[in-house]
Amino acid sequence: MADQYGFWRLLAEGLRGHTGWKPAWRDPEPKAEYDVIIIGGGGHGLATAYYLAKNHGITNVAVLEKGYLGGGNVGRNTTIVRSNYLHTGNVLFYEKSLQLWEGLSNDLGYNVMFSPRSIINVFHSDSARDADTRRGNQMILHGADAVLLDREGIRREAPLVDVDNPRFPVYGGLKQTRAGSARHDAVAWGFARGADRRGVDLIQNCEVTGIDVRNGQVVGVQTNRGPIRAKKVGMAVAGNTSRVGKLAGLRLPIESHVLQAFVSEGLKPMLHNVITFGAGHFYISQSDKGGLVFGASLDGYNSYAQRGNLPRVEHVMEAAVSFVPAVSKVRMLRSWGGVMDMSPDGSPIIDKTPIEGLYLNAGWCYGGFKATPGSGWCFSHLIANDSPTHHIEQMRLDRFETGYVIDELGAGAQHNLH
Amino acid sequence: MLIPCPHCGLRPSEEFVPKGLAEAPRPALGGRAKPDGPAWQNYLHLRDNVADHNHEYFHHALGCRSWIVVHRHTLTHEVTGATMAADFWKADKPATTGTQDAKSPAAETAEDGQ
Repeated sequence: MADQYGFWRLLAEGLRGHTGWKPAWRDPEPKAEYDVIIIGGGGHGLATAYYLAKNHGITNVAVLEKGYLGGGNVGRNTTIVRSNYLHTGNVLFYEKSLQLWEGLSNDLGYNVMFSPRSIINVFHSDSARDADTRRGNQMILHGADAVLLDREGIRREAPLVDVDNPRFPVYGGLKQTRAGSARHDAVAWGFARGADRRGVDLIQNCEVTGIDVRNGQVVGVQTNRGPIRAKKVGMAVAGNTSRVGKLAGLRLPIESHVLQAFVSEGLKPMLHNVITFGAGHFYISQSDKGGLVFGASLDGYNSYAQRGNLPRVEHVMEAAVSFVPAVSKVRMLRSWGGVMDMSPDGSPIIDKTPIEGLYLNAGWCYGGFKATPGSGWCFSHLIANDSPTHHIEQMRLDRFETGYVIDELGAGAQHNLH
Repeated sequence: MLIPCPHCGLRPSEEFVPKGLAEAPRPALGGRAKPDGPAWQNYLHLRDNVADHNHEYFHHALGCRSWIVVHRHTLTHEVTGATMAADFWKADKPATTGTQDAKSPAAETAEDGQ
């Protein structure tokens, strides 16, 4: 266990001036051929490579990343981990993912700082209470946990919430106790290190510029560091799904949108849980460093720019102050935007494609972070065995054509409804 | 972000509701004939979703309430023009309202008023 970041290693390194640390992963040159290539060195790609090696014994794997590891959405999110979903197609998967989160630091030998501090979805009407009661029952039936809180429960759990707001009075909330947040970069680094130690080649600054298909079967990829052969290629490229899919001639049900997130200055502990505003789309938690981390919905227009516009900033701040008035005294530190791969029904796609040997992991909308371990677990199984686990049976690519959509919001299955 | 509404001239983006990419025309309903599944799939769900100049539906909800197609760049957010949605798929569609060239009279009025 010499290269674990455990107590004895820390103590030993402390005594010799921290001179013995080595890079956490290798920087290999790409080989001419691999059994499996994963395009995208973000959370999902790295998790997929890790579980391919750990669960399925497939270690001749390359993860190709055009930038640096974990430089995309896994480093640009609000780090919320939960499984409070209504539909079977979602809750089965996210509950599997949450269970993996609970053991992740031990499994990786790397502290991902998963903090099950609970999430509370606050509601503001009788009908919203009915809907959340139904969702809570669904969650319990699928093995997740849920507690219905009344107004006094919200006052007790999150005293800074404006419970008596005259416009949006709080009626209560649906609480998932096992939900929480995690350290986003550590998740990427932990999976990267775990995959590397099992023999996976993590190749950075390697952009895929073409996908070679012969007779309907993938045979390899073209990159800026030369061609690499592989009979199985998995795509986990989030916001760039359409662009990479096009390299294989696919036209996919994805639109790319910008989602902004915000962090305030560091504060003393003021918010214990993750809480969400039911009268607008807004969620807020407090990081371990003390900053309030929050966000809301998409800007609404298509974008690859990784930055948003000011009208949405204003909207988010209005929601923040309506929900937690104390936020009006807080100074904002920074905001940023990430590119979301939006699917028509707001639920993800983990499936084979019409091209033999090409696998798709996409459509994470704004919920990809919590899915990271589950996505890697299920996607690696799909790639290794050519069949889905029961968690992802409904996350099909063709579901928009067949009508078997996973319409979590009940809003319909068209772009721009989520 | 300012959007050159063909009817109202340059207006702030807050007045508009974006409604997705205009990449394929809406298929004809076809009366009693069996719907053209692939055409509807193409229209409703599938997208090229380019990181480049694109065409996107916007509704001028807090203005003239016209449906328009805005020409934007998805990497820079630069708006280069707009067309009435009703005209967008016509073969002989009128010239687009631009921000740099060929400004509509309405766009100039809006700018003069600032």
